[in-house]
Amino acid sequence: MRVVIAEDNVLLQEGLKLLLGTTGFEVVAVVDTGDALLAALETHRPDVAVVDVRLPPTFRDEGLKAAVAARRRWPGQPLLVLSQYVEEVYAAELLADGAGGLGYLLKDRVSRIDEFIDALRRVAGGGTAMDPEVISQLLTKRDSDAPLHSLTKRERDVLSLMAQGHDNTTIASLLVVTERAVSKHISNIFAKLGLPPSDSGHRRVLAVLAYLRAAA
Amino acid sequence: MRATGYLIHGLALTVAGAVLLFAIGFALLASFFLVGLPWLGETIHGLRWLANADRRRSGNYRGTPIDSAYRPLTGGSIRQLRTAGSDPATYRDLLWLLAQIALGFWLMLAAVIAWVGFVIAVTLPLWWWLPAEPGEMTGITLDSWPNVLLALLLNGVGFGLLLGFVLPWLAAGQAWLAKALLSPTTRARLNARVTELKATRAAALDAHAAELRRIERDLHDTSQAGLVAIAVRLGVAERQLKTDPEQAARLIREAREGAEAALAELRALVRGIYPPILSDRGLTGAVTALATAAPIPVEVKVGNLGDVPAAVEAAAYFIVAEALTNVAKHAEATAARVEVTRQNDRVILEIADNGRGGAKARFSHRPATERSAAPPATDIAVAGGTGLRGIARRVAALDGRFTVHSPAGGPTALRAELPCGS
Repeated sequence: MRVVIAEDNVLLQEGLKLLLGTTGFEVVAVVDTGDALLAALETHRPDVAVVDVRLPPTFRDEGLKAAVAARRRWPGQPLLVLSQYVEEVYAAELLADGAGGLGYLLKDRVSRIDEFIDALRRVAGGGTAMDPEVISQLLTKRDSDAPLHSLTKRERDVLSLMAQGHDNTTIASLLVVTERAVSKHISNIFAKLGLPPSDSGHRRVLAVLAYLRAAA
Repeated sequence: MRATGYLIHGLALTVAGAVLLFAIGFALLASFFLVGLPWLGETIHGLRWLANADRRRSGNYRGTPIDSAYRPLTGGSIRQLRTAGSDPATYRDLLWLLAQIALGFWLMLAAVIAWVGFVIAVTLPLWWWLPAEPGEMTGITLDSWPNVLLALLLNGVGFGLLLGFVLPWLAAGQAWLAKALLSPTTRARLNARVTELKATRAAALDAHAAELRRIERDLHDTSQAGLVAIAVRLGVAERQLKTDPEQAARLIREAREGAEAALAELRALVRGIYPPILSDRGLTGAVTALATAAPIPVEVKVGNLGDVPAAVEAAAYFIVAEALTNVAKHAEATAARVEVTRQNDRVILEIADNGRGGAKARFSHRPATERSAAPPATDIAVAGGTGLRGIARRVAALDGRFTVHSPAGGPTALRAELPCGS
């Protein structure tokens, strides 16, 4: 799987190259600005790009802007955006085009190699990877939402994992339950939130995220 | 009419002034026997109070306020006395007091005479009509209609002129004198400004030092300690890799978990110093993000702010964050509004909700009048803050102004003014 990395910090560049190199990815380019990212995407058309939000020259949200621009130019281009902190508004901007193949994770998550690689593969395959922190921000915000309150503890766990972009198999293994139980929880959740039942995949994730993001 | 009101109001000052002058004289006399010194201190307060009363009176009359610039009276009565004694404003006030006593009564008398004369003049026919001894007015014996009319005409015009032209002129003269004597000299103005700046600079430096200490402490306690623990675990794991791989694997996993915890703590620390979204998106974007994260719809309006110092931006961010947290926690509101505007050198924050109000009752907050008091040395920029008190502290650290309007039953409106230090 071919990957482009957009990261200006040399330590993190090396870390990501080491991590991806040892887990079967091929790093085809490492760039350190938003413009260079767009150029590298043009040249290499990688399976996925890993992009840091903060990039030179402004050290603001250069990477995020480049990511949004890239998605506009190549709709559905899988991108995994990494950041030192997560903001719901950033997640919203990334999700705005409604297409899959998108990840938004805290940089910290890189240290859990298996989970990070899983997220990267999921994004490359057109899925979603939302940081648990984004989801918990959304859940805190919707604290007074009656339908959300009607969910059981287990259902909330399932909802959270589903919103992060995990499929039923992964959810089942993370919660140590059967896949059948997960499917049942999910159909309960959709019924309680009044969402139309949808198939597995990023469409379902986007529906849940849209529900959580809607103003109360 | 205004002139008359002004001059008659002046009589009150004159009388009060005369009493005060007597008190000052008495206190001075008593001071020779030392017992009078505290009394003398009290009279200084009285003098300032009286002078301020005339600043308001004359300032109102002239339509331009008269400023005051006193050296603040602090400490014991002797120290206060020494401050007042070295303050040129005290002597200018005394000069004003003498002028007010000397002129106030006569000016008031002029106003009364002018009115009485005018009223008598225009009502002369009535007097004439009354069956009484024919009197006289300004040398005209009132014994016939033509004489009465003549007296009416002459006196009406004369006193009318006195009322219409002379009295305003006298009042303006007195107001001018008050301004001349009571306005602080340029020197006094500058002195007062320097004193104020010294105090706020000291408070800002204190706040800054406390902030640095907090950051240093937090870095030591969290990140550094965390890194040491990680390094120790990795070191032990390295030694045990061959002999006890299972133990080594456990240590490495713990090290990784430690690194994650340290990262989370660092992130929280950074957010508490200067929220990253502020440098990414500026105050507008950051406030919008706060509004988005709030559980109720928050309308955001940010005006053209121009250049805002980073410290002010950060304070504004934390204030809005704390205010919105309060709204979510206590107000039972269904909507809120945040408005950020710039007025001259100030950033104005207004946060309002449609909730149940009564915020004052539930949080005791530092009133706006105490704003220049130095904030306590610790926990000025604690990210979480403690509601209104935290907001008040942040505002005070920047020498700003903070008001809460929250009647029981609602709604609540907060307003913070943050000077941008120009």
